[in-house]
Amino acid sequence: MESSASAEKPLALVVDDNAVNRNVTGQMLRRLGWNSVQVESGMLALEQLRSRPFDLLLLDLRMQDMDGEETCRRIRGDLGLTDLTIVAYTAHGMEDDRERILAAGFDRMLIKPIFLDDLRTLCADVRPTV
Amino acid sequence: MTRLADSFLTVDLLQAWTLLPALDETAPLIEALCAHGWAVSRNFATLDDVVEALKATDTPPDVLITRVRLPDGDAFELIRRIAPIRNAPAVFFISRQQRAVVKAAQSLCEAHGVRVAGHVDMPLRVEAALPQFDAFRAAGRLRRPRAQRTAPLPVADLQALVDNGGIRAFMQPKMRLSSRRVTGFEALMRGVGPDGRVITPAEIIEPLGNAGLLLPATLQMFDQTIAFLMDCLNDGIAVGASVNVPLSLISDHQFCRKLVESVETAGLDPSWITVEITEDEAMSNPALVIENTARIRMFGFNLSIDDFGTAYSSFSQLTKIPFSELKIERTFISGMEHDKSKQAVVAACALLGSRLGLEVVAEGVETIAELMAVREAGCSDVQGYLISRPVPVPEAAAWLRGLDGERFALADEAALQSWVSSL
Repeated sequence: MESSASAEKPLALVVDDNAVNRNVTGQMLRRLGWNSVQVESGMLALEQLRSRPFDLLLLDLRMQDMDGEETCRRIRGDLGLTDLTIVAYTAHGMEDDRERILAAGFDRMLIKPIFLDDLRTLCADVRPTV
Repeated sequence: MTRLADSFLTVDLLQAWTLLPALDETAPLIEALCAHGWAVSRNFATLDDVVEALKATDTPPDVLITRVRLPDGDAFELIRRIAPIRNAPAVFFISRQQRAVVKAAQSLCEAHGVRVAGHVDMPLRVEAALPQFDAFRAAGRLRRPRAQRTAPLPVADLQALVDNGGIRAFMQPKMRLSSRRVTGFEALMRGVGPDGRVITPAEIIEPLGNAGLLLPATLQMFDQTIAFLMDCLNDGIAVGASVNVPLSLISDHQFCRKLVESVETAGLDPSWITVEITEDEAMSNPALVIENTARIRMFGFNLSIDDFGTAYSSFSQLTKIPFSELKIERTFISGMEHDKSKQAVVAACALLGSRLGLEVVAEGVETIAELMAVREAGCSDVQGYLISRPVPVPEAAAWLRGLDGERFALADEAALQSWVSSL
């Protein structure tokens, strides 16, 4: 787990089994005035979410241990985090699966790779004042 | 470098010749040009005379101003006959003809590789013509010199390039119009000889293919591109890159396996890489195209259709192949601000792409006017000399870090301001 924390900034959880992606997303979030925690699996994500509140969850749909949809269902169901903004990021071409993905409890989808502009828009929607 | 480009660097006075049988009608333009830093040095009455003079001179003009209908022929014949002449001048048309005829003359110039300086209708309005001459002068620095026809390298030299790290990825940035942010690069293949000379794609790509060396050369392009991306991403700079791959290579299992190995070894998410399918004979086999492009997507790479609007890059492919990006061929972009047909084609491509959820990239954007036009047409991204020419990896890396938050800035501050305020 990598994390950067300081008081009063909004906090995002980044779940991705690719280390380069975790790192670059974390650095972009910092540029946008956010703190973030980055973990590499759905199980570790659940652990983090049990331990403290987050403002945003970015979840890669294609991971080794537990896929993103299953992770999302557990967060909404088992953990009861119904207000948390959960964003799926997926490969291009999964637009046809949008309905199924959103039904798993995601608030929205981003297409990989994620650029600074995508995150800026997302973060501004979640926390307009930052 | 052509003599034309040199003349921009050394002397400011541009030379024009005229092929104007009735000079009195055009006298106000000639006078205005002379007052605007042009030397209108010779006039000819016939096509034959000007062609002979161009062949004979060591100091050909930058621009030849001509009527479309001539006493002994027409501008079409003129274009055909001056095209083979070394350092042929750009052509400026003065015409009474319908627009379609003038456009055909301009298209013919393009087909022959002759530059067009502009056109004006009769009765002649100086204020309509003069800005085109100014734009020609300004664009001179940006335009690429015409590709020189050089002999392909011998196989032994090609082999040496591949073996000794002489295949180099030159990076040309791509910019998102909505934010002016650089979102990616296209890796373009160049050779760098033992003497440091940069060898152009025309000299190597086809010969590499003929020599059976395109596979190792393309893999080297991928390795350099992956290293470049890892360097950027580790610094928190989110950019992708595309690499051109002929379709025939993708059907080679060894190639695909090595490609996947390269990204896995580096630990790079393949979605940062876009495979740009380039046309080759395999494109004419739809089943083969679908199999191989689907494979690329299965591995997690993104997929781009290059040169959209030409030859094999057709509508029917868009419905069958999982593309993520569409690139509009540069000939549709060049000078499109003056050309309603080009505007219509580009706007239709952009609409089609965006309806299909694709990024739409305008290639070969070289002027602010073209940039404004492709934005108006609805393209999402631009690439071209206006943003940057293709540069070696270390130069691209430094350039990217020199930008303010990866935001592109134009050297021409006034133009940049007008663009920003129009966003």
